Amino acid sequence: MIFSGIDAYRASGFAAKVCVIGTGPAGMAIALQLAQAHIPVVMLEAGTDEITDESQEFYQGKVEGDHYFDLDVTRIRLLGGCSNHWAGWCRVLDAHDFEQRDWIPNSGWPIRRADLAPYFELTRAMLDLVPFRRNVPISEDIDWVQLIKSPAVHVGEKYRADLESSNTIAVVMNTMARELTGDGKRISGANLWSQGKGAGSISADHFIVCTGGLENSRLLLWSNQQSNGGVVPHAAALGKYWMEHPQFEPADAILFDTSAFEFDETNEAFFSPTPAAMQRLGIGNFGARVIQQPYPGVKALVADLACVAPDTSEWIASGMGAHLRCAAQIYLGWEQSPVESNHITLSPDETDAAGVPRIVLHWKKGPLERKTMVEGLRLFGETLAAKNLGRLRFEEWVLANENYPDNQEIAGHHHMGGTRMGTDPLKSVVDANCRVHGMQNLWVGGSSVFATSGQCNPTTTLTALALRLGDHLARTIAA
Amino acid sequence: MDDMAQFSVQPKSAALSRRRFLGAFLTLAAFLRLTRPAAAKQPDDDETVISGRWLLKRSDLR
Repeated sequence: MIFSGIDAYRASGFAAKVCVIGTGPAGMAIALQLAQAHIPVVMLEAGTDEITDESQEFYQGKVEGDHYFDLDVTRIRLLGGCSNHWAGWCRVLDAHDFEQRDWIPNSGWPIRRADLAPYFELTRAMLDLVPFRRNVPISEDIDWVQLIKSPAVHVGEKYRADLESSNTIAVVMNTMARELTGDGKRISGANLWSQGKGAGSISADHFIVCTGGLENSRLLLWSNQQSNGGVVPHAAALGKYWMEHPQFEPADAILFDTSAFEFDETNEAFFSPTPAAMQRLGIGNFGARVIQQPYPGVKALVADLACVAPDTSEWIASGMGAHLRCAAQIYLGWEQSPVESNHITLSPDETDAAGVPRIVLHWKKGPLERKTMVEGLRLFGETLAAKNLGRLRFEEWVLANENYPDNQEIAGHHHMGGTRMGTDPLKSVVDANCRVHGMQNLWVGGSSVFATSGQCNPTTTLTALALRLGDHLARTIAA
Repeated sequence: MDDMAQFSVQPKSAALSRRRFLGAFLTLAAFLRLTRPAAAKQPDDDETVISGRWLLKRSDLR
């Protein structure tokens, strides 16, 4: 069932055991798992079926630190959440991303990748993914890795018909959880804002916060402040250890030999370091996206020339009315280490229309991130040279140790951390099952529970995590 | 649009031939420089060094 607002939902008499706040991939995965176990679920969606300025305005906020995207642009308030504007690139975090690594501060998850493996088939079905494949080593230091280009499923669209016909899942549109109320052990309800006004509260046996990698922290920070610590009783890490994937174009390359790997259908191939190489160099994980331009005929020659005689190439290319690039572009996206100083706070003086303080995001890339980029590129370039696959050329700003450029991708729109998973309540917010430390009935879904970021797009991993949480909660309720 | 069209006032086939020759010659020269085998193998041939902005093998520079 899908209701246009909270009044229509209440009139239906639907009695939910679980309230899922948010309808993105995480919330949808959890609701589907619970419905499979015949547990009635209500899902709250703050937006509607269409993007509106009025709705996106709730996401405005400030960024302090490094250059970053506007916060009302980097996410979307709509049925299906951020699945409505993702690229569909899929990969699960590597097994070593879950391990504690001495050279990465605060690294280590309380679960392993293998704990997610039972949910990979469901994840693939939900996101319409081809089978995963293993990494292929091209040297002792570098693997050719898989990044699946999926159809970028919009979960709101994909499951809309199922939701409409479901007797177990009720979706309430245009209804925002403004604040959770709790006593330090249990959540008793959620105060709502629906269709432009306060709309009372909703109760359920369990609450799952799945509002995204920025909003999860915001909702819990605000709720905790209003309840004097009654929602997140161990809040030392709440909003902290926030992470992104820095993404820049710091190099290009000429390639002589591509027989050791394959370019995909969009002429791209992806490479990552081996765990031993990362340990030896003391760097984080990274993904090098190599794009081979399929120029035809003369253009291919001129483009190759751009690597070694750029002035001549530019002269020829300008005569052709074309802008031609060196043979292969290299984009690097990499792991940001979880540090306390990258964090989300509530604005002291700005609120949204519902009276909830806006986000202030404090975000900077640190020395380890710089080292990962520089040493990672060098590692990749050394593999190209050692195996005679090609040669790598650094961008000037990398060699000159200049600031990161503002006119490139900057980051991946990947919002991770803030309610990270762990065993120590001083350094984490949720336990290995995504339950908030000290709370009996409050859970968190989405990439905000990531303890470390790895190098790849987060949706696949967060979907597997959410399916696991849904399964765990279904078993908990059944018991 | 044919991106060869605005390159030259020369007859198209002649201009194309000249560009093709120039591009092929310069690219071949550059690639030969980068990929040619060393005349005599040196112990540090496989070491990498930054030259200009390139990460090259020492043997590339000999």
